[in-house]
Amino acid sequence: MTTARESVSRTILKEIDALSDPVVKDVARDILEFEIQNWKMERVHYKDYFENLISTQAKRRSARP
Amino acid sequence: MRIQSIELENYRQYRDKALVELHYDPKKNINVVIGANGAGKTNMLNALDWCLYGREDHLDKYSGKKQPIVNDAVLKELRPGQSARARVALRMTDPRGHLYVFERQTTVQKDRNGVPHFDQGDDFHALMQIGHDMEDIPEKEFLINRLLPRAVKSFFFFDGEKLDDFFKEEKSASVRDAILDVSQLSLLDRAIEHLEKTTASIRSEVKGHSPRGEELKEQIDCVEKGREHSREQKVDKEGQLAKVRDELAKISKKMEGYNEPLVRDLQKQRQRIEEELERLEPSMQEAKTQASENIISVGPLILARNALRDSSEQIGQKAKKGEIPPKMKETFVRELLDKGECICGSDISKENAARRKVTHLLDEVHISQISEDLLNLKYELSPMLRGVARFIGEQDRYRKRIAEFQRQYEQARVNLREIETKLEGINVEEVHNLEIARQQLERQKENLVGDIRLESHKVEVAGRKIEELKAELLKELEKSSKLQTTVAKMKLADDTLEVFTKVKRKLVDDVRSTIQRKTKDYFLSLIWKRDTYKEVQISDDYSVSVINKLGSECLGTLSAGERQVLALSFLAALREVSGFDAPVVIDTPLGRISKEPKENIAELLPGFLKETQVTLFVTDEEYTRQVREKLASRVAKEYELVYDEDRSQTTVKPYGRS
Repeated sequence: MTTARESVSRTILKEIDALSDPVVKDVARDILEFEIQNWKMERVHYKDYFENLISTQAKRRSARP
Repeated sequence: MRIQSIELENYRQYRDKALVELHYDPKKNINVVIGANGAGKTNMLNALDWCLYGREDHLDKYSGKKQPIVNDAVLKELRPGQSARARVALRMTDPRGHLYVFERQTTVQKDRNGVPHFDQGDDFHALMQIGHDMEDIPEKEFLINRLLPRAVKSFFFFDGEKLDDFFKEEKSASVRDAILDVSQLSLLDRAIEHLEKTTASIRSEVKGHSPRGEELKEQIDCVEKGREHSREQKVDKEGQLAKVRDELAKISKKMEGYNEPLVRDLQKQRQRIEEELERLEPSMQEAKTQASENIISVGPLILARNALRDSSEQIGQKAKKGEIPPKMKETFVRELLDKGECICGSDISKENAARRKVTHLLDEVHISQISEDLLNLKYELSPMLRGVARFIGEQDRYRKRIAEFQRQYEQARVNLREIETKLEGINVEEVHNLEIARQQLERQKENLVGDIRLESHKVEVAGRKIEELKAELLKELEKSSKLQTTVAKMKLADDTLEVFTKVKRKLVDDVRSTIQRKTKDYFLSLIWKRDTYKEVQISDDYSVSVINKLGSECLGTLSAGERQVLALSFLAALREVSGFDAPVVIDTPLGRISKEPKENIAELLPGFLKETQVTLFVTDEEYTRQVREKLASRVAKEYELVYDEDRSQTTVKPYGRS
């Protein structure tokens, strides 16, 4: 199916895909997906999602050689 | 996405069940639904909106909202205790052929006294084909948001007659909002806002671990608060500015069309001067920037010009006198000593006067290197001194250009003031009042532009300060082993924030210029007066201009039909930039367009909406024989809506059958 992820302005994804840091790339993609899902929604509970995402991925980043 | 069918049951004038099956293939991408006014075309558009978003955006604002969704006749025939439902079901497929069914219904029940009670909420279901089964999707709003968010849908489902309003007056705010929404820049704004709040929350972890860290955190929070305030102020002022501009455009339009020739003439003159000022301002700014850049690049050399000139002269004189020894290589002198023979033929194999002389040359070798550097320096000094000599001439030329722009600018301002005085002095109360109001708005505009610049500057300065403080905070926290996790989180959040900020900066300009280019291409291909118009421009502040072949702005003088074509072109550009693959449904697309242009648009419309399923709701007057012929090769299905007044009911029939 054509998801918003596919149809969202291609430039945004192109810029994110060009990032060299794989962790930042994943975080940026996940955040973009989250914002697409919640676009124009009045009450968005982002806090827990963002904090967990950053916390998990920061650990992954620190564990990298 | 394509619409396979729209099924309506007791929805407004569609009593019982009405089914419209639509089709799409790349060669036949158009479906046409023909109906007289009041037959139910607009309500079919409303049915799409209601089914997917629970709202009817195209209701007649005087009568529509008062009438219940459930068919009038059905409601009247209901007996006490009985209930009925209105229902709309949409079957859609994605490009891979997966089926989606969206269904919304609402119920009405009459109590024992015959008073109808309507459901407070609607019952909405979304089903998706998984394998051979249709599965109910619990997060249906999410699904709709992925397929076609409500903010974007108005560029896909729209009323052609209302399009005219889009550019009726200068509505930079609606153009800006449309561009920001459709390009999803607002989505990036949200991501940035959430990341900023998350980093602030991570910073709180320093509490109790690092006194200096806490101090820095407090400072960052404070500067961020100030930045947020400035951002809000900026948005507020921009909104005010858009309104002031719209008001100014309205006044200009009134004066352009005023029945007094003198007023019309003065207004035209003013418009020309304003265009001239708009042209002069950037040119003057550019000349000033070039002059400043020249000063920056040559300035240090100007300050050192005496030293440079003296050095160059001294080197030249010393070389002339032979005081700077010629280049001599150490290896060459050593070779002579090893060989025991000088270049003049003297024997230097033994200790004698000639050998002592050659040996002495070795001491001079390092001086030789300095002399080589000095000679090279002379060559480098020459272009610098030439640049210094040119500088005065160049600056003089820039100064004259700036002065000329300034003179023209001042003259234009004087002319403008004269026109204002003349208009202000016209002994017609309405004109006088319009002019006074215009001048007040102009002053407001200038103040607002200044305020916006100031707030932008504050945001920029705060941003730099925050970056500095963040770097200092990180440095501080890195000292504590307990805060390593916090440091890692802060770094990751900051890096991600930087990504979104950069992408946004890049996109803002890209999106605006792409929409401008596409709108222009579509407009110039659709418009029938090919030789009249040259450009469509969307400026930095999102105001739209149509420029004619003479170079004048003429948005205000476009006819209703031309404005509709402009809006259609703008919407097509927005739709394309949005990247959403959704069907386009247009109610009365050709309503305001006269005969010949209508056929022209009918011929070109399928081309610029290619690879898109297009459904047109048209009247008989729009769907003339000629228009039908032009569209024929692209039309997949044609339906007719027939309204039976006695039964308050519309039935759907294939077009052309009695």
